[in-house]
Amino acid sequence: MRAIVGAAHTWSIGGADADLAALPELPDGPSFQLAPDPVRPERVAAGTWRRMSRLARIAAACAAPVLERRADLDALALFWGTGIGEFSSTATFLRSLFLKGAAGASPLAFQNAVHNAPAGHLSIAFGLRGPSETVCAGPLTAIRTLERALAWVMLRERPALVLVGDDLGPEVQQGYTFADAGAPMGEGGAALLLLPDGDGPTLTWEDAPPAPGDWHRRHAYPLEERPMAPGPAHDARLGLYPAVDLVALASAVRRGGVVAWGGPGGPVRLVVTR
Amino acid sequence: MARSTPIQITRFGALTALGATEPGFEALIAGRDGFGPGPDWVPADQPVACVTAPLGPDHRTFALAFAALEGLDVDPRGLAVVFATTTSAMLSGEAAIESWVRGEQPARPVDYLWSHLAHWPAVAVAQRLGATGPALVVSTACTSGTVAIGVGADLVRSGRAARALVVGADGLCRTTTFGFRSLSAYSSTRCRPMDTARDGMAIGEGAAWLLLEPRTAPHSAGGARFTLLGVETSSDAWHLTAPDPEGSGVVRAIRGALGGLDPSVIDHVNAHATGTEANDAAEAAAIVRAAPRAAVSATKGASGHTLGAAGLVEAVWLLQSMEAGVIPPVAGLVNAVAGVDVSPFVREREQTIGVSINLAFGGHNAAVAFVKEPA
Repeated sequence: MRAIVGAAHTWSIGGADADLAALPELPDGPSFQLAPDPVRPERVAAGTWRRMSRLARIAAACAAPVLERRADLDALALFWGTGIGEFSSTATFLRSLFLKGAAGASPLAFQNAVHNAPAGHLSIAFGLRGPSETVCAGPLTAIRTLERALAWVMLRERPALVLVGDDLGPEVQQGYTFADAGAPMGEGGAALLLLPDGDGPTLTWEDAPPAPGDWHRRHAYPLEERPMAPGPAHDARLGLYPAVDLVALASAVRRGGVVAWGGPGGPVRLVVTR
Repeated sequence: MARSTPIQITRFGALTALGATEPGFEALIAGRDGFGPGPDWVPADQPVACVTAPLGPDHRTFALAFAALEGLDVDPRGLAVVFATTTSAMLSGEAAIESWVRGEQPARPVDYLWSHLAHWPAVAVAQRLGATGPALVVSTACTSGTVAIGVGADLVRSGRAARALVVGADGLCRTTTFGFRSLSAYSSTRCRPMDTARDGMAIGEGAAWLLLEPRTAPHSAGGARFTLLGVETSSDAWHLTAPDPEGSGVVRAIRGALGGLDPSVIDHVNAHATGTEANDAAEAAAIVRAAPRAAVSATKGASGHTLGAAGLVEAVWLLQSMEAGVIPPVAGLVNAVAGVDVSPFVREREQTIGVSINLAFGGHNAAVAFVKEPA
């Protein structure tokens, strides 16, 4: 599968569109590496911004520059991927429920608790009325979302925005602590505009050899299994989180080359040709 | 695989509060509903439709899926698993969060975050079946099941998978039960889809699945042959939890799923029909425009709203209805909304093209269209 990358943008611990190669390596061991608070894009109304979760704001910060000057927002397809999802909003809702009872449960937190809420906020903020899908695939979230979007672009010969993100709010940090993640954990997102043809870097999907059996065991159900395996090299600069592969891919679009593996040993590698 | 390769539905199954695939459909046609007692934590004024069949010890959403898939024998080589859910193992995670909020150490700390991550059921089903294709979760709230059908079909058409098992499941949990209540969207009486006196939705739980294969695959013995005509999604760009009152996004989804066919070809629409004032009004407006000749069924008065599983539960019931040549009755219906051809009684109707619609938080809409092939 292949597509043209019409535009790309990231929001990570390096801020807006950070050059991955310029980021220092993170110290070993558990830590939480927060991205700067996203700045409200001009296109996003203040009221919409107030209602957005941190995750939705990260998504908006990634998408806004990519959507600039697009005339087809009314029909553009959006493929949103998130591994952690709206856990922060879910935990906020449950906190209100358990502390205040049913009458005090927060409706705002509940409407933000679905994993596709950021896609809905972006639809409202940017006038996106085209197809919309939300993919969750754990540590393979970035890869599976990209795979889905590439297949869609290839089959329909229409452009699509692929967007991924994960946040590291206090509730997520507590979860990582309980899960003994044991590595520098990060947050951020990335947006890539995929086109069926035209000028720009070419993104090619190449299947790689199957993952070693150990990788699947470490990501396996039941949930007692230690969930985080050592990631690819870019985790050492961006922190580890499900969306990180696409952040690395987007930041590398400007220089080309083989830019990401979907987890250690497989199952895919992505090649950018300028 | 050619991108135009037709995708057929070779097998399907469901498990809801009405029962498993065949008995559940018979109960639906008989006009029964699955509402009854729920867990102790469900308030008495919130009707729920729970699965009463014995389930395994797994997280409830997973156990529902495993039970619905019981006995399925499928070639795992190149099998993609596309799982639709909104809650995943959330019920387990809620216990951990409650402990933490109350200042106690959770009994299973790992559940605090990990049970909330959506992707686990896809991994669990893929492992159980030995599937070697992609495994992922689609989580677009209440359109998840219908969206997942499109994702599965595209994985096959694009050559990423040899076949796709599309599964949807959601178990009852506090987040959704009290969440819809917090939005004042929950009925305090009973769910009455497409009724002028409707006062809200009511949650159910369940699981359902479709096996999607290229048209070249051998068809299972017996039964009608169904081809996937199309799946289309759209966004309202209107409100996070309320649909566009004109239903324009729903209209686009229906037209997209038909792939250019005239709307008059639709024989049967299974409506999302949650029983809320806003949803049913918007959807009725859309059906009048996009499926003017269709008989309409609305099944959440029988099953409750099964959330992420709804698209697949309703797709299975649509296929069974097309196979049997009947339109299911709308449980709880007394006075129908204007312009929509619904009935509290079962109707005999030959059907060639059927459409199922779902709407969701985020202003998302999805429609799937099926064709019943000549015998």
